[in-house]
Amino acid sequence: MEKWIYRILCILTMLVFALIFIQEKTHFVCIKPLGGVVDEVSYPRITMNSYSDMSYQKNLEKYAKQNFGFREWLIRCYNQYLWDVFRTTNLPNVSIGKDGWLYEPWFVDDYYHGLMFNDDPELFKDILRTEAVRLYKLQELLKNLGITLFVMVEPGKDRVYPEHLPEKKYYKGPEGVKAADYYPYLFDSLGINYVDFSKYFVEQKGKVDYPLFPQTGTHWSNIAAVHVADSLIRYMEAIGKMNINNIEIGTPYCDTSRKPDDDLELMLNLIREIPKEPNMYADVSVVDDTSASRPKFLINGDSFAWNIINQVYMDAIFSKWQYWYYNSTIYKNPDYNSTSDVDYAAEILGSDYIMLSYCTAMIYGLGYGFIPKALVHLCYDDCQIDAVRDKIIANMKCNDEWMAYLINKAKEEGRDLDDVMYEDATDNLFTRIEVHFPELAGEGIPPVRRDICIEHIKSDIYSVPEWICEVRRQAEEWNVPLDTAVTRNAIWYYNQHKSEY
Amino acid sequence: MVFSSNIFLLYFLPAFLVLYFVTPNRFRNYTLLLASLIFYAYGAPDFIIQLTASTILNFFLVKFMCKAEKQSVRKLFCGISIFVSLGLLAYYKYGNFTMENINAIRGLYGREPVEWMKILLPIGISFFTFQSITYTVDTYRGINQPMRKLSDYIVYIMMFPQLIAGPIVRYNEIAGQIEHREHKWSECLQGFYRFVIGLSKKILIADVLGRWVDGMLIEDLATLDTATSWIVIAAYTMQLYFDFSGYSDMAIGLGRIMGFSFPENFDNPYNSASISEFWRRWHITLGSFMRNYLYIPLGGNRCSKPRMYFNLWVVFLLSGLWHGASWNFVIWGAYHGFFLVMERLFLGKVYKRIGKVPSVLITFILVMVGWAIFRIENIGDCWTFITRLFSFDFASVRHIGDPHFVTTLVVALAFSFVALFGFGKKMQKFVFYTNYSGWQHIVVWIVAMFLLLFSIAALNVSSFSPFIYFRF
Repeated sequence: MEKWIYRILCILTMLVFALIFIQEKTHFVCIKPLGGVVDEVSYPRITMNSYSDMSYQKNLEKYAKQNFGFREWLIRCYNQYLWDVFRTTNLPNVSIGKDGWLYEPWFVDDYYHGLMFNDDPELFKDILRTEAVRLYKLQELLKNLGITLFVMVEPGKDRVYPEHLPEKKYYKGPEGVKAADYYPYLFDSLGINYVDFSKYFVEQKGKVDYPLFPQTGTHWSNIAAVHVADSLIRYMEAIGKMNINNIEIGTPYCDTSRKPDDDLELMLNLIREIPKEPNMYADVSVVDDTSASRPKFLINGDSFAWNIINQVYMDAIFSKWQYWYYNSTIYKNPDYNSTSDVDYAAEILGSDYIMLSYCTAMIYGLGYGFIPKALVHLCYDDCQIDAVRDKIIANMKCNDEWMAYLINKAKEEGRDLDDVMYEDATDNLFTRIEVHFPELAGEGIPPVRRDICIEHIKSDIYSVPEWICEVRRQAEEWNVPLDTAVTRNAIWYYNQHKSEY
Repeated sequence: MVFSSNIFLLYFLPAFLVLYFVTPNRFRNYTLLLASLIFYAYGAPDFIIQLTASTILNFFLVKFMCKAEKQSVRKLFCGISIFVSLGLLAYYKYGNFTMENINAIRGLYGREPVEWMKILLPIGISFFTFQSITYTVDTYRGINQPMRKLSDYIVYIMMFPQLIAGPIVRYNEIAGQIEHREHKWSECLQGFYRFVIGLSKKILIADVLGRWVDGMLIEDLATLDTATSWIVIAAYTMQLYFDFSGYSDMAIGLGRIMGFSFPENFDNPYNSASISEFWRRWHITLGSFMRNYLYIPLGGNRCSKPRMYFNLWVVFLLSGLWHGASWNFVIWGAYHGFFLVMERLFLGKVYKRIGKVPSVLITFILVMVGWAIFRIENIGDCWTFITRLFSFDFASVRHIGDPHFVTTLVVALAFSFVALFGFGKKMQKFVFYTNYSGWQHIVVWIVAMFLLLFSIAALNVSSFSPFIYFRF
C-alpha cells in the first residue's frame, strides 16, 4: 500500500510540472492577465555569439519568467500574501501609505526631503535657476513670433493627501530643495507664464464634493482632470488673448474604477481589490462656439496629461495638437514618433500654444531637454549647430580621459565609437548651451534665426489684408511673382525691425 | 544555470527526471553525464571545453599513476595531477589578484603596471578542483581503486547537483554509488522534500534578507548607527547561511532522487559554542577536505604546539583565500585562525567555565564580525563598518520599515537557533532524517508542493537573483 502512495505522489509531482508546461503552450485555462506594463521579451534566437556572451541564456530566462504556465495565479497569490500579511509589496515603484492608500515612491521622497541633490541644495538651486532663465528667454523669443509658452504645475498626491503618506520616520535623509516650491518663486521673479494647480488643489481639498486623487492611483482623478481642463482652457484664452472652445462638465456620478484611477493597484496584481470609496466621474462635452478659434497646441509633459487627453475631445478644441511625453515619445503627430527625429524649429513654429506640464515630483527636469534644444534650434541653423558639434568632437579626441570613457561606453553597449562620440557631443552641446553658443549666455534675449523671422513676417503679410493688398500692387509694379514681392517686403521689414526679434 | 531559476525548475529538472527514470538502470549514468554537460555548458559556455579536457586528462594521469609500479613514478603522476588541478585554479581564480598586487607593488616603486587581460572566473572551479584532488589523493593513498570508466569519472567530477557549490564529495564517499546505486520511490520523495526545503531557504529567506542587506551596504557606511549595523550584519549572517545551506539541501535532495547519498554540509553552525565547533558545523565538507588534505599532511596535531598553531593558521589563511581572491578573504581566514589558536591557548577553557548559552552568544558575535570582513571587500569600508558596530551610537537609529524583512529575519534567527532546544532537535530529526509513513508522506508532500509553488511565485515576483556562493 505504502509503495503505491510513493508512486502516486511521485507521479503527481511530475504531473504538476507537466500541467505548468501544458498551460504555457496551450493556455487551456483562461486566466486574467497581469496588470502593469512590462518590457515583453520574445523567444530568443540562439547563435554562437548570443550563446557565448550569455545573452541567449539571459533572454531565455526572461522569456521563461514572462511566459510559464499559471504565472498570473502564482504572482497574484504571492502578492496577496505580501499585502495581507505584511501590507507590503516587492514592487519598487509603489509605496504603501496608511489606510490602504498607494503612492509612487518619488512623491513620498519629494514630500519628506526633496528628490534631487539633497546633499547640495545650492547646486540644485543653481541648476533650476539656469533652466528658468533659459525658459524666460524662450518665452520672450516665442512671444515675438506670436507663440504663447507657459508652464502648468500639476499637483502631486503627496501634497494634496499627506495624511495617508507612509510614516516620515522611514524616510530619513538630508532635507533638500523641492523643485515644485522653488520653480514658482523663480517664475514669479522672472515673469514666466505659469498656472499652479498644485497650490489650487491644496486649496480646493475638502471644498469640492469629488476626490481630487483616487486612493489607489497616482494621477489626479479623472473628474479632477476634467475640471483642470476647463480651467486650463480659460487660462489659455486669457494669456493668449484668444477665444477658444470651452468644455461643459456634466453632473458627477459614482462608478466602478476607470483607467487610470487605480493604476497603482493594478500594478500590485492582487487577487482581491483593495477596499475603497467608489470613484466619481463626469461626462464632458465641447461647447460649439462658431466664433472661437481652434489654435495649434503642443504639450510637453508627463503622464498626468493623459487624464485630460483621454476625456476631453481635443480635436474639437484645437486644429492641431500633439503630445511630447517627457520630451521623448510623440503622440498625435502624423509625421513623427520620437523627438529625436523631429524638426524642433518647425514643430514649435507650427504651434500657437506650447505647454510644459509636469507634476511636483517630476518638475525638476522641466521640459526634459526641450528648453535648450528649442533655444538652439530657433537661434541657429543646422550648419552652425554641426560646426559646434564638430568642435566638441575635436576637443573630445584631444582629451584622453573623455575618449577612454567613450571607448568603454561603446564597448559596453556594443556600439560604434563614432555614434557614441556623436551622441555624447550632442548631449554636451545641449546641456552647456551657454558655453557653446555665447549669444545664449547673459541676460539678454537671443536673436532668432533670420530665415525664421522672415518666414514669420511673410505669414504676417499674408494674413493682414491691407498689407498683402499693398504688396500685390508692388508685385504688379515690379513685374515679379507675388511671393517674391512678399519676400522682399519681409526682408526689408526684418532689416528695419531686427532688434525686435 | 542556477537551481533557483525558471529554466532549471520548470524545464531542465522535469525533463531530466523523466529522461533519467525512463533510461534503463545501467545507462542512467550516461543520462546524468549528458545532463551535467548541458547544465554546465549552458551556464559557462567558455569553460566547458577546458573543464572537460582537464577532467579527462586527470582521469588518465591517475590511471597511469595506478599502473606504475615504482613509488617515485606514482608520486610523480600524483604530483602532476594535483599540479594541473591547482594550476587551473591558480590561473583562473588568482591570476587577476596576483597581477593586481604585482602592479600595486610596481606602482610603489614608480614602475608602469604590467598589461594584463582580465580573466573570467569559471563557475564552480573551486569545487571542481577539490573533487579532482580527492580522487587523485584517495587513489594514490590506496583508499579506493580508480574508476574503470571515463564516463563514470566525469559523472563524479561534473555531476550537476554538486558541481557548482558543493558539497565537496570525497571520492571514497561516493565511488561505490556511482557504479551501483538503488533507486527507490520513497527516496525520490525524500529527495524532493529536501530539494524544496533548500529552494525555500534560498528564495523565501536568503533572497528577502539579501535584497535589504544589499540596499543598506551601498549607503555611506559611516552614517550607520549601531543598532542598524547589527541588524545589517545579522541579516547578512542569516542570508549567507540560508543561501549556502539551501543550495546544499537542494544538491543533497537532487542526489537523493538519483539514488546518491551526499554528505551533509551544515549542522546548525550558529549553535556552536566555539569557533572550532563552528568549523565542524559550517561547510563541513570543506572543513573535512582541509583537515584531510592540508592540515594532516602539514603535520596536524602530531607536532610541537607552535608548529600546530602555525599549521592551523596556514589552513585558515588558505581556506580564506579559497573563498575568494581578495585581501578581505585572507583577513577573514586569519581572523578565524586567530580565534582557533586562542581557543587552544585559553579561550576554550573560558567557554567551558561560562557555560553553553553565553559561549554560543560570544561565538555568534565573533562569527558575525567575521562575516562583515567576508562581505565588505574594501578594507577601509570594512573597518568603518566594524567601528560602527561598536560605536554605541543610538542617537540616529533608523526605522526598519519593511515588515516582510523583519519577519523573515526573526524566522531565520528562530530556525537557526531552534536546535539549541530539545524540541527543536526533535523537529529537525523528524524533518530531515525520518522515514515517513504513508499518511505522513501525503501531508509532507502537500506542504512541499505548496512551498515549491510559493517559491516559484516569489522567484518570479522578485528580480532574478544568482547564488552568493557562485564566486567561490
